[in-house]
Amino acid sequence: MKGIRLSPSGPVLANGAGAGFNPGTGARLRLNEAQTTVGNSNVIPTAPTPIGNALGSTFIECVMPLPDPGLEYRATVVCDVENPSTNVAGQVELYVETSVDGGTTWSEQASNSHRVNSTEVAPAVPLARTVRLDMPLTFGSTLGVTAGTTALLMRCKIGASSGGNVLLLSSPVTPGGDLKSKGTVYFGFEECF
Amino acid sequence: MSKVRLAPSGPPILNEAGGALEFGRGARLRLAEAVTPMTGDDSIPAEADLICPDGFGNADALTVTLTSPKASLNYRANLALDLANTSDTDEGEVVLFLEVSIDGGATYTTRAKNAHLISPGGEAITVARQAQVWMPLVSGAALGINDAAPPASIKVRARAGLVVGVEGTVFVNSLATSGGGAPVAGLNGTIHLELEECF
Repeated sequence: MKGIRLSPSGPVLANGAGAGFNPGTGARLRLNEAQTTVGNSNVIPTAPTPIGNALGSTFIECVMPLPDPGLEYRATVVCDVENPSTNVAGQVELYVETSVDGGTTWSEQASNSHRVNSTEVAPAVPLARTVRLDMPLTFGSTLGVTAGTTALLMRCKIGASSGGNVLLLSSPVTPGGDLKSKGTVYFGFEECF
Repeated sequence: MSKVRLAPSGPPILNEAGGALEFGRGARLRLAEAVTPMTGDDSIPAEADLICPDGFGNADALTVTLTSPKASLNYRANLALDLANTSDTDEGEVVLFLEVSIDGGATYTTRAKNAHLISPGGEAITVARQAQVWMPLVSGAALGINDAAPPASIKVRARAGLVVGVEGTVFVNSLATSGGGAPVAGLNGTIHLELEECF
């Protein structure tokens, strides 16, 4: 295992006898996270598409430089989805994908499905809810990390198996005129022992 | 704060200059977690029952375990899942429970619980929402751990009960294959259970 330092230039931690410091499984070594608002193109398509500042354009990714096959990685994605219709029952799927080749190819690591109901009243009253997906602790080697991997990337896709092109990803830029909104989209990506 | 050791009998961990290694309260030492879909009977019963990968009322409750817990360390847990109400008219209220065992799973004690409203949609519309319950940082001693007679493990499992509503209309929604016009298979589910050991 690599030496653990209190800071990049700090001394390597050791136990009193000088042996390497070895915390338990799941102790967090590094955290990379991101939040974003989603602008104009927030209609969730049937075909899963990466989440970015808009859907179908440049996507958000969390990057973990110099990953280790012997360490474990976990990810959490949270966002709000909205059903503005009066008669379309919605169901959205979230996907966590990782890449070990700089983003050329992506592999799906976790996915789940969430119902997003509509109202049966007119004019339509949009209903919104939080959805979340977790990729539990997974070894770097399982994700394809090798000794030569320069970075482990994580992104998230969203698609609607029902209600596609009607449901919305709700992460507004200016809720109530508040220009400081960070959005509801949150990505967390951890490296752990 | 307890000295940090590589093993229960190991020497205290120091930095190379010899100073004591100290983390802040809440720094995570270990994590155990699990995600699962729920198949079988996922209708939430009136009498709170165990959340299992194959439905309620089974012996194989979803459980996460950390070995060799300590009285002086802190533990926290979280359960997250999706709920669904298929009733046209009846409001539902679901209580989630987190239970902890320090005797290998022979006995469990409720350590956290909360209630979640889930409205009916009317006219055959299924309403769904996310629900979570947290057990915030609790010392191992408060959970009953005694370092003089250390337990082999600490375990967490979860229950759900329908305190308001009609049985058979409120469900845990953690699908292995989605519905909809373009079903997606191989899903990991919305149920996520985690247990942390922290300073």
